Amino acid sequence: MEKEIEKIKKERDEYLDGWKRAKADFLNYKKEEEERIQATIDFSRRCLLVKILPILDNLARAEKEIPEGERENKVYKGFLQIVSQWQEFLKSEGIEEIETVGKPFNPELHEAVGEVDLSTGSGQGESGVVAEEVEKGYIMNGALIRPAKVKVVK
Amino acid sequence: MAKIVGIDLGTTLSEIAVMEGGEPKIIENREGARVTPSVVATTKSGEILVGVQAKRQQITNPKNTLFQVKRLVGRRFSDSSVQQDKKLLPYEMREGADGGVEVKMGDPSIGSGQGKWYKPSEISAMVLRKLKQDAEERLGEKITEAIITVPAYFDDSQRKATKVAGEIAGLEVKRVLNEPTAAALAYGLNKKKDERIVVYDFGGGTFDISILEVSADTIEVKATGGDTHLGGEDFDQKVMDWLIDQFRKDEGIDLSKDPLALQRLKEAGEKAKIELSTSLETEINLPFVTSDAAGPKHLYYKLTRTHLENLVREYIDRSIELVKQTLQEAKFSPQDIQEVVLVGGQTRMPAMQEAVRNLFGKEPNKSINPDEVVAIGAAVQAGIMQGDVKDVLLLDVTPLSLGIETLGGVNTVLIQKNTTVPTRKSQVFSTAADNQTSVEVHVLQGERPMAHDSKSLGRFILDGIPPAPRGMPQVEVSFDIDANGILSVTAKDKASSKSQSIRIEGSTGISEEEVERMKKEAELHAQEDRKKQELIEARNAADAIIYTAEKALRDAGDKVGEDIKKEVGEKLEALKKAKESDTIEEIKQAGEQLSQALQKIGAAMYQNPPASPGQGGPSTAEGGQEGEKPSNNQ
Repeated sequence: MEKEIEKIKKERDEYLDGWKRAKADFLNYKKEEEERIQATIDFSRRCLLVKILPILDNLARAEKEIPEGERENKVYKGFLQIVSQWQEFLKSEGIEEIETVGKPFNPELHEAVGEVDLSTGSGQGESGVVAEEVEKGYIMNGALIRPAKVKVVK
Repeated sequence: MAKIVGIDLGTTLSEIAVMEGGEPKIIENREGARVTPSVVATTKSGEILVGVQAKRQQITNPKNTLFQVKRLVGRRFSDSSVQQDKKLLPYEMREGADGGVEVKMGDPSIGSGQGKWYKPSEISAMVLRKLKQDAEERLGEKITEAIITVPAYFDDSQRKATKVAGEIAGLEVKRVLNEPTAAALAYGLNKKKDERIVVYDFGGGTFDISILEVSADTIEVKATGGDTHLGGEDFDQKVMDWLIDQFRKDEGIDLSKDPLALQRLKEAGEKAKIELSTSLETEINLPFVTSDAAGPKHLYYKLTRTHLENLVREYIDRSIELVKQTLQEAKFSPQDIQEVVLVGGQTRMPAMQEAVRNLFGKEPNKSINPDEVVAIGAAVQAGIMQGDVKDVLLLDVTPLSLGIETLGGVNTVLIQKNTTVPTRKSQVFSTAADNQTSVEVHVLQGERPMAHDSKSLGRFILDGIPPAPRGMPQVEVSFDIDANGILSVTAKDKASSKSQSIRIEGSTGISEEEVERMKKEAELHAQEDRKKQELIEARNAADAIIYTAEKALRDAGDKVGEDIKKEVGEKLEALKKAKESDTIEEIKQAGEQLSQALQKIGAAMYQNPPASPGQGGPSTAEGGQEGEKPSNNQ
């Protein structure tokens, strides 16, 4: 009889413990779930941005092609305003451009797509410094969205 | 207890996964990515980089950036494959004292200026260590044990070298698992006794075929084949070549000479390839791709799925040829194979899936992300090995939805299928007719929206509801399933506190085949069911308006002009007639016209307010038909 009670008591403790754990697990899960939801929102925002960025890259490419001294031309001026509108939008979303030219190459933020030979005179600065930006990179709230594509001094 | 992780140590990419809550899960690395490039580098300042950061600086540091070392792990320097790879890989390699391969990379202690010779397993260990450390950070606990996957054709020396790599990284390697076996485990195929499985693994740079046989408790590799230099990257190259060719024809400019344009072409080509797995046509749009004396040049082409398939047909055909060859070597015919598993991102291409389907005459397993299926399977194996963790509480789920029949024969679901039990759900319903004193609760099981298509589990009547206008009484219906799957349904009238209940045992006791059949039927009939339901909803809504209109006409008395009354009356008759038809549109239209006419009564009433407060009936768009079924008040 006593043995039976002992056994039942032990079982009860085990079940109660299991129940408490399950409840705690659930509460913890709820907390984690909130974080996960936030992370998912951030992730989907980032995904959308990553898809928009190539369009902005092309605007930047177009901007580079505006002939010298034509920037005051009314059509070009309007176009440049659109470019600046995009830049404002990115800023309002908390997105910053990654600094490139003149900074030391940093694989956390930069992706090397080529090298510039100092001897040809096209680059400036010392070896390992970013010489040219090929495509802009962006960070949002300190987290990398896309590294900047750069050429590095050889 | 510390968790055992599963690691897919790939030629170009690696992943790590773990069992969490009984489910395998890929662990993201510190950069937030689910895959880590298998690349290691030493920078000029002597820092060791692993993963995407090593990859990003590869161009500026080719001599000190090691990749694809998996091709060298555990091999002898004199192997013909090593000699071949030596020509393709940009870093230095030599023969070690033991006849193995050694690769050169900057020594972190003195910077990349001074090279140091490493064994390939030391380099693999660096990749493994990063995976381990990042996973420890994510999981918040130490990782000391792992299962690492290798290709099925790896020999003993290559397996040993992989194990050594794990040990250098501080991991006790519980098992070196074959990649195809891991993929089969991910799909739970280890339970399919005496079956033969083909794993078709088309990765970025390698193509592997494995034939497995499942016996009592092992999965045995019967044959392997493939091509170590055939992969998805060849597909990208084909698209790129086509773009370069077209552009040369149209603009007379050779983009292959322009490294920046090439980079954009490569990305755009890969993107187009991926998009064509889900759409039939895509555009490749690269404005300002280059320029000449005449000004900037733009590239714009459309690529269809069929065109892409024609471009890469030779590779698909070759892979199928290799499968046939491997089958032949193992003395099997395609009919001897019971299951086919797809691995590798390129297998998302519909034409490739079709080629495999045609060869074997069956649908391949492809529901698990093909980039992750190997790591997932390694985690599953880890879970099996950790089996000593006792699962005291085994929670079941309800295989089918449970609900009650409401007005118009609709199956109103209270507990959705796949809900974990024990669980409890309740919902408040009301009466459908004035002065209705009883409701019948008809308990249903199934996915179909109509009661007569669902399985009836039981029914009971709750009476003694005090007479009241329709929609007023509140009857709370509760469903409770205990851990043993026993369902109790209780209906309680909130006003009188009267309640009635029923106990249904074995509510989940439908056989698996029956569950499958019911699910299939539900899918099959989904559209016609929706129509039926819409029609019933429209009729119910019409009833509610009719009820309101009749009541409004009664209440209005002489405060409203005869002309308005007449108009409402006419519209009312029209709606009653429309309700009998089977056209949803007609019912809706007539209903709308009647409610517009009704507004005139409202407006007139406001101009001549009644002496006593109005007895407004429920104006909800629910119920109205004679009958004893409760109306859904939610």
